[in-house]
Amino acid sequence: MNGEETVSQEAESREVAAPEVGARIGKAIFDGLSSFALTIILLLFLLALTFKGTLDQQHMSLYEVQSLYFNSLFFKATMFGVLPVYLPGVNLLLTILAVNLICGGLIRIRKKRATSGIIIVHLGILWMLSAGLVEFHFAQRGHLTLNEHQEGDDFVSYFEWEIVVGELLDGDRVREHLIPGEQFIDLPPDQKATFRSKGLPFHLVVRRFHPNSVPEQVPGGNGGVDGFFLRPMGSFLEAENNRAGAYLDVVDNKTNRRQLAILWGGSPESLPMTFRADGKDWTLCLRHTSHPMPFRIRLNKFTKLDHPGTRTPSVFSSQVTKFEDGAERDITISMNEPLRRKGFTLFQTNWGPQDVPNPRQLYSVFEVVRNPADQWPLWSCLVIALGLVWHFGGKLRRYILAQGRTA
Amino acid sequence: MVGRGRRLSMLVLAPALAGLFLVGLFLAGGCGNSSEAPDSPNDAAAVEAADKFQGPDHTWPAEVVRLAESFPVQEGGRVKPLSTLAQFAMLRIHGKRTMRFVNGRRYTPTEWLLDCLFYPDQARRHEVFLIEDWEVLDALGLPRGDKRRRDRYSFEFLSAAAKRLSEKGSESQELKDRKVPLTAVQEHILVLYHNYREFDLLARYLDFARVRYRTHHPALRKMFGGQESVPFSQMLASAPELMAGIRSLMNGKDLEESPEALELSKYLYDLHQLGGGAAILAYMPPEPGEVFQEHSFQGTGRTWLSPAMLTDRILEQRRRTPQKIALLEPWERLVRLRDEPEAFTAEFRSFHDSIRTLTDARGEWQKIPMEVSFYRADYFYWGQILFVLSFLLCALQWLRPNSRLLYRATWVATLVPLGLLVTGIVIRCILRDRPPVSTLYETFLFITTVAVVVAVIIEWINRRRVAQLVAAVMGAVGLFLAMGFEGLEKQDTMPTLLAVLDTNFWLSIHVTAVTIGYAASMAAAGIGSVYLLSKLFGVRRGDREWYRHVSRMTYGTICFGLVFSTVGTILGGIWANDSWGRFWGWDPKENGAFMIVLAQIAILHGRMGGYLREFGICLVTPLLGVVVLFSWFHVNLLGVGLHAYGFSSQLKRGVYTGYGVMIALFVLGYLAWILEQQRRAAAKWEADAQKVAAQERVSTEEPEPSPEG
Repeated sequence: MNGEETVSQEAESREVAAPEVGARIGKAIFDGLSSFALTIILLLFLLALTFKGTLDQQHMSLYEVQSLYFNSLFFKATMFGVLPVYLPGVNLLLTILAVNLICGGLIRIRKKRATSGIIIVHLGILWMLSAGLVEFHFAQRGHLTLNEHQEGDDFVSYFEWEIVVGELLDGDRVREHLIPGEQFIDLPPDQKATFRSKGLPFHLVVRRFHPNSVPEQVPGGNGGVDGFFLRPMGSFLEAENNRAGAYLDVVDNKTNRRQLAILWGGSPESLPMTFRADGKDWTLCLRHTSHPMPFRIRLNKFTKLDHPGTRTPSVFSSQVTKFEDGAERDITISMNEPLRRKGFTLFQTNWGPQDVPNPRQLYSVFEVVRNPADQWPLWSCLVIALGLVWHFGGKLRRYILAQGRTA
Repeated sequence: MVGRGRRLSMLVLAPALAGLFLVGLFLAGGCGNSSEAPDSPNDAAAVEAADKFQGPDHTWPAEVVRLAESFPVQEGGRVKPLSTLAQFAMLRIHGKRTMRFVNGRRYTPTEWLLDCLFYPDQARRHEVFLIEDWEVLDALGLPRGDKRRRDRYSFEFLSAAAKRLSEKGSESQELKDRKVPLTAVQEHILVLYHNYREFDLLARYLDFARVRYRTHHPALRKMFGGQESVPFSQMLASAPELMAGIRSLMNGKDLEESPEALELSKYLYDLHQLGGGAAILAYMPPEPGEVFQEHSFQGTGRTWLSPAMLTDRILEQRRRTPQKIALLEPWERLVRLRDEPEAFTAEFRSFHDSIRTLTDARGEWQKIPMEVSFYRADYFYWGQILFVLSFLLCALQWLRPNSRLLYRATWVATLVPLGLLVTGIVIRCILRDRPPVSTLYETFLFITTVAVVVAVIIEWINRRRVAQLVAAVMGAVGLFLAMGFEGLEKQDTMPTLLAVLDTNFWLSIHVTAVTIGYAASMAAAGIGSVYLLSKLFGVRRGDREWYRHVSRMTYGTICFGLVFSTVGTILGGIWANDSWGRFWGWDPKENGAFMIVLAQIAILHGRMGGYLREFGICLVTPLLGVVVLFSWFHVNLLGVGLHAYGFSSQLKRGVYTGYGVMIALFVLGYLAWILEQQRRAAAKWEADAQKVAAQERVSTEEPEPSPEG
C-alpha cells in the first residue's frame, strides 16, 4: 500500500511540476531575452563590428564590407590566422536587439510616468529598425543616366545582374525573357544551373559566374570559347564598377545541340550575343538589372557651377521634364533637392563627361530609389527625440530641484 | 570673309605665340622663374648674403598698412581682405603670423606682403622659409651652416637649389598623387616646393608694373603717338591693334618668315609672360552683367580678375576692357612711388577707394572690415590665455577652498573667455553666412564652446567647483588644439563648401546636433577623469558625497550627449537620404557617429543594469572619449568614404596622442579602482580583526559565572 501510495504521489507531483518547469524555463528565456546583460553584449558586439567594418573599408569595397559584416546573419572570421570562427553579423545582432527591446524595453519595463519617455524611445527605435528591415528587403536602387534632351523611364541597378534572352519579333520589336541574378550569381564552381521556359525552343545552362572579370584571348588562340576566356578579377573598391561574366551553354530542345557562349557585362547593350534557333533570331546578354518607373523623365539641361575662381563645385542641377499620364511638368533636381513621386525618388548624383575639356554635351546621373519606408526614419527620429527629451528633461528637472533643496 | 580671314590668321598666330612661349620658357630656365639663380648648391655668396640681412631698410606708413589690410581680393571662391590672404600665406611659408628680423624689427603678415610686392629684392632676403629638418637641406645639396635642425631660410638662399627643389618637389607630388606614402623628408620637400612657388608668385606679382616697353619699331611709335616708352597697361590695352598689325605684316606667311612681325610678336610674348605671372591676387571685381567664362563651364558673374586673367582675356579671347586696364595703372604708379611715403600713401588711398567702391557696388564690401577686425581681435588666442588663468584660479581654490573672492574671480575668468569664444564663433557665422560648424576646424571651436557651456551650467547648478575646473581645462585645451590644427592645416579657415554640404538647413541641425553630442561626450570624459584622478591621488578621500556628485555629473553629461548624438546621427541619415538616396550607407563618418551612440547607450544600460556604479561610470568615460576621437578625426584619416573632407596626414600624430591620453586615464582610473578595492578590503579586514579582537577581549575579560549566576 505504501509503495502504491508513494508512486501515485510521485505521479501527482510530476503532473503539478511539469507546468512549473515549463514556466520556469519560459521565464528564464524571457528574462534572458529582456535582460540588460544581453542589451549590453549586443551593443558591444555592434560597436566592435562597426569599428571593424569601418577600418576594413580601407582595403575592401563598401559593398563587400556591407555584405560581409552589416547585411549578414553570420560571417566567418579567422582567429590567430588559423582557427575559423563564425561570428554574428549586424543583421542577426539587430534582430536579437529588436527582440531584446520588445521583451525588456516594452513588456518587462515598469509602466509608470518615470519610464514613459524610455518606452517612447524604444518604440521609435523599433520603428527605425523596421524601416531598415523594409528597406533591406524591399527597396530597389539604381541609376538613370541621361544625356541632355534624352528621355528615360527605367533605371539600372548598380549591383544586380540578369541574363536577358531577346526574341526578335516582326519589325523592331523585341520580347525579353529574363533570368534574375539571384538564380545564378551564387552558383558553386562544381554546379550548373539550367533554365527552361515554355516559350523558348532551347534552354540555357549557366556553368560559371564571375562577379568581376575581363574577357581575354586564350594564348595561342586555341581553346576557350571561340578563343576567349574570362579572367576573374578581384572586386573594385567601388563595386558598381565590377563587370560580371558568365559561361553558359545554349542547348537546342529538339536536337540537343549545344552552343558554348561567354556573356560579359562590360558592354551588354552594344554587344549582345546573337544566334538562331527554331528558325528565328535571338539575342543573349548579361546586364545590370533594369527596373521600370511609372513616369518618364527628359533631361533638358544640366548645370554645374563652380565657386568663383576655383574648381570647387558649388551647384549641380538638372532641369528635367516629367511625363506622366499625358501631363508634363518641368522640375529642377539638384543636390539635396530630389524629386519624389509615387514611391520613387530621383537624386542628383553625378555628371559627365568630366575628363573632356569643353564637352559639347553633358550627361546627368540620377540615383533612383524605390523605398517603401523612405520617410519612416524621419518620423521615428521625431518619436525618439520626443522620448529622449521627455525622459532626460524630467531627470534634469528633478536633479535641479534636488540641488536647490540641498542648497 | 573678313571674319574667316581673321580666324585663319589667328590659327597661324596662336601656334606661333605658343612656340615663342615655349622658347621663352626654355630661355628662362625651364620653370618660368626669371629670378632663379644658377643651380649651385654651395653658392657661398648667396649664403653669405642671406646671413648678412639684418632687416628691411624702410618702414611702411601706418595708413598704408591699414588700407592694405582691408584691400579686397578674391581667393578660394570668396572675397576676403588682403590681410587674411597674407596671414595664411605667411603661416604656410613662415610657420608663424609674425616675423622678427635680426635688428629686432617685427613684421605683420600685411607688411611682409607689401614687401613682397614692392620690395621683392629685400623680401627675397627675409629668412621666411621654415624648414622642419635640415635633412631637407642635405637632400637639396644646400649647406647647413650654423643653423638649427628646424630653422628659417631666405628665398635667396634656397634659390641656389631651385632646380633640384623643383625636381624633387614634382617627384614627391607625383608620389602623393599616386597615394604612395612619402617619407618625412619628402613631405617637407613637397611643402617647401609649394611654399617656394607661392612666394615666387608673390614676389614677381608686380613685375608687370615695373616694366616700360621701348617703342623702337615705327609701327609701335605710331600706335602710341610718338611716345618713346609705354607701361604694361598701355601696351596691353593696345594688344588687339598690335595683333592686327602683326597679321598684316605676316601677310599670309609664317611668323618666322616675317622678321618685323616676329619682332612685334615678342611684345605679345612678353605681355603674356609678365601678365601671366600676376595671378595670385584677383582684385578686379566684375561689373554688373559681366560674366567671365571659367574652365569649360559657364561663369557666374562672380569671378574677380587678376592681371593674369585680364591678360588672358585680352590676348586669347580678344576682349577689350578699358575699365579693367585702368585698374592696372595704380600698381604702376605705386611701384614708382615706393620710396616716397606721402605720395605712395595718397596713391594707395585712392586705389583702395576705387576698389572699395567697386566692391561696395556689388555688396561684397561690408564684411571686409569685420573680417579684418575679427583677425585683429584674435578672440581665440585671448580666450585661451584667460582659460589658462581660470585654471590657475581653480588651482588656487584647492589651497583656499573657502575663499568666495577666488570662486567669483574664477567665474569671471571662465565667463569672459567663454564670451570671447562665442563672439568669435558668431562673427565667423556672420562672415560665412553659415551655421557654426561646417569644417573640421570649426568643430574644435564649437565643441570647446559647448563643453565649456555644459560645464558652466553644471557648476551653476551644483557649485561643487569641479565643473568649473573642467570648463577651464576644456576651454584651454580645446582652443590650444584649434590653434594647433589651424597651424597644421595652414589654410584659410573659412573655405567655400562642396555642393553637397552647401545647405544651411542640414548643417544647422545635423552637424550642430552631432557636434554637441561629441562635446558632451568629451565633457563627460573630462568630468569622469577628474573623478578618477581625484580617487588616484586621494583628493577629498573621506568625502563620499563629493564623489557621488561628480559621478552624477558625469552620468548627466552622458545623458545630455546621448540626446544630441542620437538625434544628430539620425538626422544625418535623413540628410543622406535627401542627398544620396540612402538613409544609412555604413560610411566611416556615419559609423563613427553610430559608435558614439552605441557606446553611450551601452554605458547607460550598464548603469541601469547595475554593472556600472559610481566608480564604473566614470571609469568608462575615457573609453567613450576614444570612440569620440575615432569618430571626430580618425575616420577622416582613413581617406575613404563620402565624409573624408578633413583629411590631414599631420593630424595622425595628434589623434594617436589623444588615444594615448584617454587610455592612460583609463589605466590610471583602473589602478585607482584596484587601490580602492584593496583599501576597502584592508579596512574591512581591519574592522573584522578589531571586531574579533574585541569579542576575544570581551570573552577573556568576562568573569567566570558564579554559582550564584
